[in-house]
Amino acid sequence: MMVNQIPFKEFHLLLNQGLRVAIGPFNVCIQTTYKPLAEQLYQLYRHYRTAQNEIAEFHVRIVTERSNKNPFEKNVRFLLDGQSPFESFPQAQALAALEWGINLAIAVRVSHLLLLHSAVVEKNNHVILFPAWPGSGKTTLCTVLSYRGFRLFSDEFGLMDPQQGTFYPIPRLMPLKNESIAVIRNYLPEITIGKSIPNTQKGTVAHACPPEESIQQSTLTAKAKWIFFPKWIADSTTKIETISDSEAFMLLASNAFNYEVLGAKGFQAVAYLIRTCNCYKLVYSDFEDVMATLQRLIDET
Amino acid sequence: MKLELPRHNQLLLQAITTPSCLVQYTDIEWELLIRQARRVKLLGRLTLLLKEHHLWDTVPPRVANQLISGFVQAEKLQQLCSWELNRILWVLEDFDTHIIALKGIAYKLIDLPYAKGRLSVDLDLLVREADLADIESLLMIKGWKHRPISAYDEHYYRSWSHEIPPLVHTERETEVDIHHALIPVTTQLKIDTALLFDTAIPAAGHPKIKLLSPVDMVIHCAINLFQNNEIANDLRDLLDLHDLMTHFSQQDEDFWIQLTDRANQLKISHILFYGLYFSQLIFSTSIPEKTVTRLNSKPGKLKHRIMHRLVPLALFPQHPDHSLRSASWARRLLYLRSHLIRMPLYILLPHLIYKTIRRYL
Amino acid sequence: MMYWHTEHFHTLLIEDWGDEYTVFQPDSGKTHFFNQISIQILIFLSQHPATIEQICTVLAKQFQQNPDKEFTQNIEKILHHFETLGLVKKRNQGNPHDG
Repeated sequence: MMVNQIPFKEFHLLLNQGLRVAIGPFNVCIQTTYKPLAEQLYQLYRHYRTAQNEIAEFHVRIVTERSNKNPFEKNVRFLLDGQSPFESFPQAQALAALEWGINLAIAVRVSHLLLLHSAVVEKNNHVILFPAWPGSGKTTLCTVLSYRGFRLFSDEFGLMDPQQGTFYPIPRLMPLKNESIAVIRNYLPEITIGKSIPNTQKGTVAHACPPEESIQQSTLTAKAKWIFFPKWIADSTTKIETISDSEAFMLLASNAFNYEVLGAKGFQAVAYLIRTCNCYKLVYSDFEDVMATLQRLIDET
Repeated sequence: MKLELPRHNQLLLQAITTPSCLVQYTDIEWELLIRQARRVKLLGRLTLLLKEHHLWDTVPPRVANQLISGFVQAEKLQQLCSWELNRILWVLEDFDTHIIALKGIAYKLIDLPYAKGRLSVDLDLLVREADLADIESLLMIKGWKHRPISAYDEHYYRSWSHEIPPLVHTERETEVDIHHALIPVTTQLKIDTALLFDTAIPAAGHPKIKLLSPVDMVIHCAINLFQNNEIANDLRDLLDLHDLMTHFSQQDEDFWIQLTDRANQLKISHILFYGLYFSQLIFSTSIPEKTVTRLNSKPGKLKHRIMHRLVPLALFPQHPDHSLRSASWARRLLYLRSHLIRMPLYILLPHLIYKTIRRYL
Repeated sequence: MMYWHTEHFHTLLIEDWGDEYTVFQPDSGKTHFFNQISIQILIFLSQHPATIEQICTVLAKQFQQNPDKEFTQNIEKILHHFETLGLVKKRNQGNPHDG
């Protein structure tokens, strides 16, 4: 059952008890009684499948509590299995807190897969990785690509099965930050974006919905063929530059969440990626230009 | 007295003591089991048990992935601890002394069954008090540093604790806890560290490393649980105790006599009593009946009854979605107990006030 | 005499990228990035323990360099770096084939 097949009243009730949604290879059980969050989720999670009768890997809650600083103000707190990994957030940031919390839970717990810190899309059954640290513009680029002919795997996690060499899609809401919110609203006026949440740790955040087809196809895995280390530089033309295998290895390994935790398996998985993928550094600013360049590279091979 | 556990804790205990029953677990039960096992660091242990009992293929895939993740993390932390020890030995190569490896790393060195799945975050070492200053400065020359701590904490470690402030190498993350005694110095109990070195045994393949003798290893484990720690979520440590006693008693038929003799000699038999009692109560450790009667001192009946009520409530994890009020109270009382037995009141009260204030600042 | 030797060389996983190497060391869990000279020192020492002079002679020949003071100092630097990484150890002894 899809979220948008459930009336809001019932959805809200499920959230009160614990709503289970399938997000890529994981099921997440979300529990909250905070109604404004329920309304946001009902809009932004509408294409996700519910998994009420399945095992959930992650159990998260958003609870409201009185603020320490101002007794007349309420805060929200994120809980993972009843434990609180963050300080509390202002109520208006409930959705951001939830989304960050789920990311954190994935990043610290999952060790049966290699977790690259990377935007991931797919074209012609080949995965394209954009490994980068926050601030590189990978979420923005990823949002554009996923609504312009590429299938979204994730704007944040490259989930690789180290034995099979395949990637698992995990399409989640894409948190656009600051200037990129207006950029995307202009460039992709047709897509659903949650309301802007100002004054978070990362400035203003607004969550873009993944394309419906990307969520529907999120059980289809694929192998990687391209790795671009992206860098957004204002007004630059699109430039791609090949890099040495050794440098690509270092960049990829140092940017994974759990490369060292996986030990020899992580080493072999990254070596496999470097051997089987074409690796480039990518500088860009214009979306049309970068898409044309990517398309040209893809068509050439 | 019987063991009474909430339903969710029974799911956890059964899984550990009788893995064959896991084939009957429903998805809901598996899920609740995994969430609790993670809380008390037993994912690695469950993984090993399921494989040992040839049940791995019956595990739901979503559960199996979480178990593997837990096992991989335990493996990684063990590798880090072993490497930290390797680097410390390298620095101390020309320093003529012995170091005793404690806890997780020791269990690994004696090949204790299931040690492979044990989650050990820190490296714990015991050194002779006379060596302490030299070892600390040798390590600091080679890149180990104390984590930045407050002046109060520094004072706490140096004056009252049985270890120095934790050391971490600048290029790595593993915390090294160097102890010079097994019990904080503020405690009325005293165990002469020299006595432990006298009976320590060599570790195969590591000339500089020694291990506590089997009975001392058991006693140390019991002391940590019932004297040094607050017991909350320490189920794994009680399982260590059960594993150690089971393992050593199978190797040496005089083990139980040696154990009680040593506890009497060190004047900690009332602590070992709790270790024996709860290991048997919870994990059905097979301990000869006479063992307890050989102990010179035991807690009084009332104390025993209270501990019987409180300890299991604290050892087992709370239900992750709705915590029991009785278990929360048990934890608070045992927290207070752990401090009362460690420090005289004139140190304890300011200490607790300081810790409480700091939490709210 | 001071002899250098490798530690658990056989456990290393080595990826050869032509001119550069990525090496995984299971003992430490670390990944190292080495050039030709570094990897050749390790390979040479894995065959048998050697003094700094022996290492320099062989490597100077292999890389067609002058085994002068600067060259020796560079090799020494690499060896000490390897020592802190736990890849090599030095041993003071008469017969290199002991132990």
